[in-house]
Amino acid sequence: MIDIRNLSKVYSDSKTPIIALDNINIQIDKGEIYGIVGLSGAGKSSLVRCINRIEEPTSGEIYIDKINIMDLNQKNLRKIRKKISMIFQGFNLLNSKTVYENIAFPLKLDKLPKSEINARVNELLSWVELSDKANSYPSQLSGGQKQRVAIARSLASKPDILLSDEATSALDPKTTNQILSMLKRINKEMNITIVVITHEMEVVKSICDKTVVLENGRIIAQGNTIDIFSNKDNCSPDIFSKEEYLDYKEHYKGELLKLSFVGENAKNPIISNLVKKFDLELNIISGNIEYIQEKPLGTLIVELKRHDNLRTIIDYLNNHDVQAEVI
Amino acid sequence: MIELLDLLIPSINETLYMVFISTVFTVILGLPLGILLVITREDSVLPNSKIYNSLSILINITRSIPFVILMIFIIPFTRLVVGSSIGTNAAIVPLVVAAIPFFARLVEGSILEVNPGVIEAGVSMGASPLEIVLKILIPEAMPSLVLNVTVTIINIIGYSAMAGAVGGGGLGYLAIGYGYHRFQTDVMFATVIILIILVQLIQISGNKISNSIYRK
Repeated sequence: MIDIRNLSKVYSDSKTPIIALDNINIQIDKGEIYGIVGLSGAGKSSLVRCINRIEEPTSGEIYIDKINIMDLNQKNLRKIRKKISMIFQGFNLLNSKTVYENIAFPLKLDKLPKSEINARVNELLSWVELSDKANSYPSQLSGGQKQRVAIARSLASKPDILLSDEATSALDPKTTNQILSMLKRINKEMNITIVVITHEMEVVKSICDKTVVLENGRIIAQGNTIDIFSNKDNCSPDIFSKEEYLDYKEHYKGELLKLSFVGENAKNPIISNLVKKFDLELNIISGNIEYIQEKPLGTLIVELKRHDNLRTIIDYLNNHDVQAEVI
Repeated sequence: MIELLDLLIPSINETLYMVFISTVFTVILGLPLGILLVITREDSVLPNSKIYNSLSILINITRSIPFVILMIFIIPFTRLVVGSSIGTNAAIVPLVVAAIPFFARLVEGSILEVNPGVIEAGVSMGASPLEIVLKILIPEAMPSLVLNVTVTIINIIGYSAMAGAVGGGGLGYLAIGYGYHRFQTDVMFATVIILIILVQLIQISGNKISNSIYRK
């Protein structure tokens, strides 16, 4: 569906060129919800804007349904953009137009007959549950409502792909969940491929099938979301763990371990066996279970007060399907 | 009193005529110019540094010439356009020439205020540069554009008095010809009052219209 090959983007207007994207390769299949996560400045926004060529890549190829969009002229590019919708952090609705007119906007660009526009807009209005707000102006709506209008607008042209650029970052947690479940429904019911750009780990965890993690314009992890967060293959990037555990390191003097339990492997009394086997003094600091794509992921932070061989302990845990990581 | 009205009414009509026609031409020519100034910027929808730079320099040059001098300086051009260099129609030419760059700069400001995100949304929906101008930039900037047209009209009224003084007719001619050269203080006084009322009316209506379409 979307195939990004060797994509690079360099901003060369300043004296020292800034490499925003460095040799990015991503394949996104039809019907997937794909997360692109990273801190601000990681290059997420540039990357998503290359997918519909709102930003011009410096080099590389981007295939949408086997068509290399780098080869397209402006006219054909505009045509393909109608099949790649986009929603934004700032909603980007037209303030001078009503909710109805905003949703009708892409249809008017396509010069569809009025009756057809009317039917489609009303259908979308009820889909996003805003039929009663048809004649309101964006300034009269809450953030969540604005984003729903933006979603309706993005669906108007029946796109194949939806790019979501930090769409929930300006919203409170409750509204965020509302919008996320709406995105999930769009993905399931309309079979639209969704690319989600975000700096919020929670967003990726809750809706993305696959994820890439960007740091300084480079991909530092890529794969199934659950694998990335459970640190399978040890690809868990720094941005997930180190920062939030800095506090612990100040308060606990022993060796700190982060243990991740995925799915079925948590049934054996691993901790208890571990303590007996290695004669450990072990202090449990915190524990947490979260659900990624409906699969449970347990995390346990423990402090080893007395231990002989850290390496063998970690190996033991890894052999019992628990990912252990020193923090 | 009747004598005074006989003097005032034709002058008011002349001024209104001059200002109205000048405003129409200024908006027709200045609006596209101002929009061009925005969309040819490096980061906008139709980047073209050559057009942007030459337009910008041209506007700056025109705006640096004081109106009284500009009026005389372009007399050959005025003759070419309206066939004469004296009279109300002849005054319209320099008024428009002076007001276009002024208005274009104001339009530039208005259009730049449009949220860049909305433009980006338009581009992402596959809108062409022309569609972005007509369906996004102008409607979104409308309240601010109305205010800037108001400012421009008031500016043209001021210039028109100057144009009147050198043969363009209107209230400016009346104030200087009668009020100053013939020492008719009442004429001078009446002219000033009328100008004040005129400017107030225009500003108030401009604000009203702008507010009625402002949706933020």
